[in-house]
Amino acid sequence: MRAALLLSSLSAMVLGCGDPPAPPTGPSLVPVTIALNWVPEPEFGGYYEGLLSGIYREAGFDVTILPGGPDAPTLELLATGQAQVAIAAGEELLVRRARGVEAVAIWPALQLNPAGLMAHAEGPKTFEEIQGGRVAIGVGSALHSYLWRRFAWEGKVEAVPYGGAIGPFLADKTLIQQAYITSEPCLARAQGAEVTFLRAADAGWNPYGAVVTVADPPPPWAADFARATQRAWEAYLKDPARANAEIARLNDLLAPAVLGCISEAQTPFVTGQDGLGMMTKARWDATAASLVELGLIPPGSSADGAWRLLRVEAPAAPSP
Amino acid sequence: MRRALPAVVGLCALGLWAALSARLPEVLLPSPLEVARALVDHAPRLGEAALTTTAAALLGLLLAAVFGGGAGVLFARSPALERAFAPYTLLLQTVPVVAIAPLLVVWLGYGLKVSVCTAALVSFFPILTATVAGLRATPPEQLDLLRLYGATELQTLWRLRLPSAAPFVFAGLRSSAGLSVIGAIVGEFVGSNGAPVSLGYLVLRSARSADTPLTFAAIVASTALALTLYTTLRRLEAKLIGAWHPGVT
Repeated sequence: MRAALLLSSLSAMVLGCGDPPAPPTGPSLVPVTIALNWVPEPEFGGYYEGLLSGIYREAGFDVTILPGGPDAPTLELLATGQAQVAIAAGEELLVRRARGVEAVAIWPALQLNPAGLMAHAEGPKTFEEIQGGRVAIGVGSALHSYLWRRFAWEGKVEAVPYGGAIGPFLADKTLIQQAYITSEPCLARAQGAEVTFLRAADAGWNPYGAVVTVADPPPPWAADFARATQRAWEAYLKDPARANAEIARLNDLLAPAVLGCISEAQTPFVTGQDGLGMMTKARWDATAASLVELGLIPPGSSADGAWRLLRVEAPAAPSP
Repeated sequence: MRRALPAVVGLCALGLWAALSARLPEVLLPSPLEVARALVDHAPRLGEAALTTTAAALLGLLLAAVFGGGAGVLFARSPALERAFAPYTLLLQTVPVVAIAPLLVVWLGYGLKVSVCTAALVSFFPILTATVAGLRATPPEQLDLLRLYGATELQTLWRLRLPSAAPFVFAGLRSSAGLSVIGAIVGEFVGSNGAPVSLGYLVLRSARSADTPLTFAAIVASTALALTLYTTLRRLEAKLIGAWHPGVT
């Protein structure tokens, strides 16, 4: 491993891995890099709208959006200072905090959890109807553990690994697979499949999704950033055209029809039952309780301190 | 006739592929024609992606050659050094690159650096072992001769050991050439966020949206890349050492 580290550092040196020089910023602007946990897609529409409309700049931020990829380590990028804002799943934040990562949620992009299962239209319409067969899912993931426990699927429903490709699902009418409302159902429909999306939220698995997180304790600008993000998302929901055009430019592998489908499908998940940008103690506590039950965070862990509803509170006190 | 054999095998394989694809849905196995169409339709994107992956594989191979070859010289020279470090180099070989790639993203950030590192990691070991084996295979009578002439250690290394080890080193480099492409693509699966676009990124994204012809087109491009690297090394080997080593053509 020493050799691996040495090699990594030497390669980095050879390649001149130092961060590129920051673009010039106005004297009063706070430079903020937002690390996305996936490539540019509508689930990040609000941030692009904030950037393009000038909402972030007016609020005092010089924002750079850093696209991610599969398993993007956004909270680690936050911890190492490579990003000042990380987009992460609510449950991921609690698990990482239990392991010592100092990060706090300040704004939730997805009120309703975007995860669920996708079945062919002629297949099951509810979780309860699934009583056998195979489900392609991230084996060992929190969603896998939760669903198998909740519906007592152990020994009845076979979990097979999901590698991110929907080809096997399209080719097998009996296969069910994990899905995010912000991705797979629209991709499958674009390939001509008729699908049913079973929301994990309806089964009781409802952590906030795509949560805006910052370092803990929150930096002095966190409340302003949360408020600007709220305004940016309000603007995006009102008219997503500009941000979607930018997303289409940055992610030209995403077909326009799929982009439009995702943008539309995600709206009820963004606004949720409590309204845009809202977080409640009950929801966070329920997520923590589920994670304790699944053994993913130590017994007695709670969500206390993991989230701050800064958008309606007074600005956070500067960190000591 | 012997020259035509590879083409005959290739054509048979294409025929078999076409026959199989006619029975399977496109999302599982696109036909050769559909893949060819994807290669044409996505030519600029594939070209850009292939350039990125080539850069990662070549830089990774270069790093592996420098460090693997250097470590090989040291190990061949000092059995004590080899005893001390060999278990760790073996560890390097057995570390699952997929598992450490996300850590490389944290350490180095997104982009080429991650795929260069993963390419170097998987290419390192074959070059190291080939170098050690080559340096140890120097004929003893030739070593005795140089010793009689009073040659220094450095002169012996430079004039005898390294030239006689060259076919081994090239064999290691050729083994690593294909591995470096695989290593780069695995690194891109995790470390590429699409800027710049790379073959690993294209494979991942196209598989996600069931654009199987594009997945296959990217695979064809990566195979072509590995073959080009291999044959380039083979030619370089023939040019550099072909005159001394009759077996190298």
